[in-house]
Amino acid sequence: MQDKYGKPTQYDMHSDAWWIRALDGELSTDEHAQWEIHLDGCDECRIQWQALVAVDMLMQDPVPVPQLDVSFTQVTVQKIAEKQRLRRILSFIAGTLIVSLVTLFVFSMVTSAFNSMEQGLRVAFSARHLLFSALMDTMVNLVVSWQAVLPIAIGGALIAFALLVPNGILAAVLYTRRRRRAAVAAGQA
Amino acid sequence: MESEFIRLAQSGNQDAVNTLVETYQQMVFAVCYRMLNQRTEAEDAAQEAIIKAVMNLKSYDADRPFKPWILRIASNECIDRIRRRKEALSLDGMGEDGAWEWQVGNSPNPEAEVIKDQRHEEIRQMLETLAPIDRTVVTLFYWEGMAYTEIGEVTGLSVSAVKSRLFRARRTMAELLVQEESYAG
Repeated sequence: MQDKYGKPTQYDMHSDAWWIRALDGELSTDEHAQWEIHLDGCDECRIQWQALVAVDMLMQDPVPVPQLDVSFTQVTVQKIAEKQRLRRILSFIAGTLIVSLVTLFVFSMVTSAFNSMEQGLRVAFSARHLLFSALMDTMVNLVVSWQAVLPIAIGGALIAFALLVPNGILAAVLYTRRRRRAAVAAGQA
Repeated sequence: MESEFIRLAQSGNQDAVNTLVETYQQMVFAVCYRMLNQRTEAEDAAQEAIIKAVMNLKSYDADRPFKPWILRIASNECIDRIRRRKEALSLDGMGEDGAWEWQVGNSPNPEAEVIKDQRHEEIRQMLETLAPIDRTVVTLFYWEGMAYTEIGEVTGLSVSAVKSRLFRARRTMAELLVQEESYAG
């Protein structure tokens, strides 16, 4: 970059960044001096700068804003209250719907489980008769078969009694054999 | 103090809500009026913006300044309305009410008032050429006296983007001014 005297400058005075800083009054003393020199020499920049300054001055005169009516506050607050009431109603309806759906779901699950349990109990109760009759049959069969087995069992018990009790047949036989052996041994001696 | 009654309004205190509306309604209306150029529509937009702000108060962070937050809602409302507009404003300044907009009534100095009206008309025409977001930036910078950071909070732009948009808007308006002067000359 060069100024009008042909001296090189370090600033790009055609960049947006430079113009923004110039408009915001952020140029240093040296930069401001360079800027003035540049505006003197560059017609395009000077015209644009003057137009920007004119826009700034124009915009400093604010467009007058009328005052709001006194009723504006009341109407606005009323509308806010209506919206809040509507929101509460919608929240209540949504909440009720959700609770109903959850309740329905839980109820259907419980009902299904209850039905299964009821069926199970019904099966158990109806099978009770079968179990009882099977048990009775078994008991009767046992008694019947026991009647057939009873004499054998009594005979076997008597035999065992005779053999095994002290002073019984087995004990007597064993005693006798022991005495005979002793006698034989004494005779030999 | 402000944060106190905003917190009360957030918790549903109706008196605090009323105070909030009364405190900010004129400021919000001013921004809407300068962006939309029509009183009736600006009132509607301001009312909608305030209602939206109150209904969404729970999403507002009470530790941050309230003004940029509510103006953001207002500017978005105005931008939506500008985009939805089907009819362009008439260039002779007649509003949809059939009344002159931005004009002062009886005045002891009619010449000065005419000059002022012409200037306001120039401003209105220049603003009409800008994109809605640029119009917001210009309005907030010149007439609400907001800093770049505050404008950035309202518009959702970075500080450098705000500076850039403002400069381009100024340049557009400057070009229009130069054109008008060349036609007049």
